[in-house]
Amino acid sequence: MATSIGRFLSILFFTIWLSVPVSAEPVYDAHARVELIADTAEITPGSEFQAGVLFRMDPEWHVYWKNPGDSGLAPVFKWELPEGISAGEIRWPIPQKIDLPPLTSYGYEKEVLLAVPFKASPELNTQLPAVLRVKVEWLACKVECIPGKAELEIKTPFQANNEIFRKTESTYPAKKLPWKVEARRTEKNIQLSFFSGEAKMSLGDVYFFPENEALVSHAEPQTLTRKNQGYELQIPLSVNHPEDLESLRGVLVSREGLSAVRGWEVNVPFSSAAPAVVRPPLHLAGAVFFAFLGGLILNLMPCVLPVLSLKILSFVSEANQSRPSVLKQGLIFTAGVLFSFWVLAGALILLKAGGQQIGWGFQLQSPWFVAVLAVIFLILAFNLFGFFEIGLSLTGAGQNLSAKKGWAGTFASGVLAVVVATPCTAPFMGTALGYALTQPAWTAWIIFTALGFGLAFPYFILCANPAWLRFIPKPGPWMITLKRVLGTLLLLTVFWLGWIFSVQMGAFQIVSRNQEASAHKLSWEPYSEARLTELLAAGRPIFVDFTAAWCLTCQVNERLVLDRKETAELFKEGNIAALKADWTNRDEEVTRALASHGRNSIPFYLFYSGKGAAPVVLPEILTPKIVREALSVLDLQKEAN
Amino acid sequence: MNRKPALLPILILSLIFSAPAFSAVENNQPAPDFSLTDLDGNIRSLSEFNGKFVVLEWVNHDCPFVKKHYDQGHMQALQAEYAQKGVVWLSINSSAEGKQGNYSPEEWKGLQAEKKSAATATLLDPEGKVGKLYGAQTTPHMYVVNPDGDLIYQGAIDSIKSTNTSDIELSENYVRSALDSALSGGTVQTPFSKAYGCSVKYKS
Repeated sequence: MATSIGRFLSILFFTIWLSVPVSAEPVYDAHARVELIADTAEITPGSEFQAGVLFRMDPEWHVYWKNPGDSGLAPVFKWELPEGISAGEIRWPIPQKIDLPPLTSYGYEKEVLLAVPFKASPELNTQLPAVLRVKVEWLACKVECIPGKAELEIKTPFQANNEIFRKTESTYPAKKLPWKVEARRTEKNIQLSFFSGEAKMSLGDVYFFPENEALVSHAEPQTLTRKNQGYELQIPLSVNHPEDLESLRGVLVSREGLSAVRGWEVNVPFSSAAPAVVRPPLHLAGAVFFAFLGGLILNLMPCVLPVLSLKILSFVSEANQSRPSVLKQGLIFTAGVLFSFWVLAGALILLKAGGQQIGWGFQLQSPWFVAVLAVIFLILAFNLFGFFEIGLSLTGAGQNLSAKKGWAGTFASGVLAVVVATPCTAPFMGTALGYALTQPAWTAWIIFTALGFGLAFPYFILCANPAWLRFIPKPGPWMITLKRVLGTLLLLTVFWLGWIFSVQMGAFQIVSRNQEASAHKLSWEPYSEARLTELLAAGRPIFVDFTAAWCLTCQVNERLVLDRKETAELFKEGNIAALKADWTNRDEEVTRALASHGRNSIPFYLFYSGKGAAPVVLPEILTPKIVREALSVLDLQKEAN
Repeated sequence: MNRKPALLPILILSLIFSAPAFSAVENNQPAPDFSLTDLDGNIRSLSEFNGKFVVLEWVNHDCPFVKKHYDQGHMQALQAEYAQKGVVWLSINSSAEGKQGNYSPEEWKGLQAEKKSAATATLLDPEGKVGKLYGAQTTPHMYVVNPDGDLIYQGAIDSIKSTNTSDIELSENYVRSALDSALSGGTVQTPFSKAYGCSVKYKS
């Protein structure tokens, strides 16, 4: 059917063309002088050469690129060639933007050579002169438009026009961008990002010419922003853009000054790795509130709990002290917490400004920090077991301290609370931290301060109202037992830190590549953007676990929820792919994935239901119920089908 | 009278903030209402045709793509055929004063008579406000509105982008397809296509 229509079309084309005289000379029509030229004089069998149509337009008139933009029509060539010679596709030089507000077209003014590569077969008959004949149809526009047509032919020996072909060579886009490119679709835009790695990139005015005619809003401005080691170009989608395009094709053009134009061909699959989640913008007040709440809840997180308990012990010993002294203790502890958060904020801001891909808990990505932390915990544990008394108690729990030493100890315990808190993310904190690190330094500073206040708040309140301390039992033998329990907790923490250290040093991996699938345990695959894109393309539901050995909240979620038999069964039932994004060591790909969701802390859980819908973000603290409910979307889909 | 001074700044502000003036319309959404004068000077609006299928055709008789569809009577035949089925056809010209395709109402009357246009009405939009409201880019640029007032098609007149009249027979006319499907209660197979043609000669 298609071929018969094609044949009919070509027959029709010929009959129409009968009325146009074939010309070996340049033809002038529709405000353009068109001429068929070649870059060789003779065609030798087995050779490759170029021939093309040179358009010379009247001033202010233009012809169009392959995507003409809002209006217009690209030139069309129909070749009539001797046997043994075949034509390729038109090689389109870098186009220019032609603005006719409110419309925008893509095309060429003044002069353009639309060249076509040719191949001569080794069996080409060279007895007779070869004739290249082309029927050209084009639309020339200034503001008004006129269609032009011509039938041109040249016969060997051609007049070789090497100079024009060579000149045109520099106007083609380069085949490949020298950078890593990614294209994503958001609700309103296409985001084209390119990373240069270490190399310096310099770009002028950048514009992306899309190949698809209906994809983008041609007249709307595209905005370029500098990102870490690269750029991001926002290209506004047209209202009626096609939804099913799998890749972005076109030409990226950079213009510096009037003459320097560089262009690169772009052909990248749309990556769904960083999905089009449009989240309501978080305001500063909201972020501060979340930070405070997060700090408050942080007290109950598994990594802070031992320190919290130590503080309770110290309260018990302080219960008999005078009110002002207790209040002072509370203030000093708060100061210690704030001080450490400020140091942390400062370090994060400075490192980020230096272009480092880091986030919350980044210091735990250093094995040496982990080692030092382990030693501190070990000393604390031994202290609690009563092996020795530390002169300057880090915990403030020592009974025989002078007031001054107690204050230093209180300050230090504030610092310690923050240090050990870093492996944890409490609910609400992720959102606030994600916001903080995308904002100017002073905003980040305010948010970190709010977080610190949240963490210190319970102690501060207790110290301000020592009356409430009466609810805690009087010191007695029970304290010895509690100390032993806490000491055990700390020892476990030391083992955990030792495990992190060994993972970081490469002794173990949290995701093994050849993990055997078992009925009782989930088989995790390591996360990569490529794998995610592949799975999304296959339409499979996907669960992504952003985790690290040093993230205690993550470990607890995994032990108590994700690694349960029931969860494994749910995953198996839904044919859900499980991806683990390991952030134990610094990993740019994982950092980038987190950043694309406005996060820079873990735990973070994503669930893609596999129907192209935006992923669902699960809370920081998982329960079997939460996971079951999140996955139940699949059952609904099944029923809908 | 004393409301005027207050209105003016609001008007100016709304003009500033309404940029970009060039918008676009979405399928299966209500087609925005508008009012324009016809060739007799009467105000006509889209809402007066509620309950009927309405075709909006952006037209400029000096454009070669429009000529392609008018010179051998194809567009007129389409207008007449669907007028019999109760479809309203509004031909809209958004050429600004002094630009190609802009004519006085009297000249337009002569032009439409000469072309044997069978449109229900020809509406003049020299300010380009309706053209920009609908995001009309080219002549021709076609829109089909259903009796509920929702947009069910927008884009090209047919599937072969050229200025050759002979291509018309070989192409699929998207307006015909959309109307036929919708008139028989079905869904439109191709609700959107990229319009092709000359640019609309908007006021700059």
